[in-house]
Amino acid sequence: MAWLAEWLKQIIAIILLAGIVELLLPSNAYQRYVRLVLGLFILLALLSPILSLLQGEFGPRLEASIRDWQGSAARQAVQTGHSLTELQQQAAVLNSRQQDQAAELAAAKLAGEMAAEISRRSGAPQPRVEVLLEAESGGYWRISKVAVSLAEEMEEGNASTSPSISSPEPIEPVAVEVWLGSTTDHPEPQQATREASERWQQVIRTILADGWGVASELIQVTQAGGE
Amino acid sequence: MEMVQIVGIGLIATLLILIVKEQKPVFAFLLAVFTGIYLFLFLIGKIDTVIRVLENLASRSGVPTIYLQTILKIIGIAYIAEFGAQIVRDAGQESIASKIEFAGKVLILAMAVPIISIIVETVLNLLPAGG
Repeated sequence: MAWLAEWLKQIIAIILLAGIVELLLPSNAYQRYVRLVLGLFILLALLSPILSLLQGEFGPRLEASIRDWQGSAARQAVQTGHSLTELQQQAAVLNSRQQDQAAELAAAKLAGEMAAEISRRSGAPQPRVEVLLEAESGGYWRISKVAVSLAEEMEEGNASTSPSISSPEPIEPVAVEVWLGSTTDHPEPQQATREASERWQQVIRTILADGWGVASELIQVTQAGGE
Repeated sequence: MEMVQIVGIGLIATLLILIVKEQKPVFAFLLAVFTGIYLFLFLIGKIDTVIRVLENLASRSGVPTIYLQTILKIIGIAYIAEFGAQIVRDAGQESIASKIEFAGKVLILAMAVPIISIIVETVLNLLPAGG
């Protein structure tokens, strides 16, 4: 019975609205036309249970059709106001935006592949790679910078001559130290980055030059941590 | 109190227009236009409260907002058309005034087109297909 109450409420509200609107009208000249529209609204409200029973929700459809109607009028106004050069400018803007997005995607993919290759060949744990691309003429893109940041804890010896075979290391005993005092006298280690060691730089430059032909001056290798 | 103000403005404007009209009919017309615009703007605030009441009523009783939007647009068109037509009529251009009113009526009817199309479509769908 809830729908009945809702329906009656809607009809009463629309009839009240119609009465007030007729009072608000400035003169009698428009009364007939306004009455027509208001009558159509009341008719819609009266028919709404049947309509929704037969055709599903008609409210969104009515809204869409009114918006279409108003939108088509607006579009006509817009179409006459636009010249060919404006359209071409818009096309150029859209084109460049699309190219930028493609470049971003390509850079992310390239960075992922580089990181995987570095960690496969050198054994560096989870290197973070960022690739910057630069547009060239003719729609080509060039790698302008590769920044590799290595994780903090890495032994120098890992970058050895046989990196692909990593022998399992025995687990060392773990020492757990519990501090009960205040932690203020143990300052947090600073998370700074510094240049990675010469050896790592060499290894990573070789990998990137082999795989992607990146010139070594474009590569920047940093390592997290270090006091 | 506001009513007194409005009547006072109207009386003063009428008196001035009567004085000026003999010498410069154009200035009399301008005076009438400005008085009309002033009174219109003066009353827009009051119309605003009425419209707020209508919106409140509609939102509380679940009337779709698109109904109210259309109704308010119709009222707006009617007011603007009537206002313009009266100004033009004051200047003695009866035919232009009736054209403005005609435009207002056409625009109001154009508001009804989507509703009519929905109703007609529904009624046609109600009828049994084939035959």
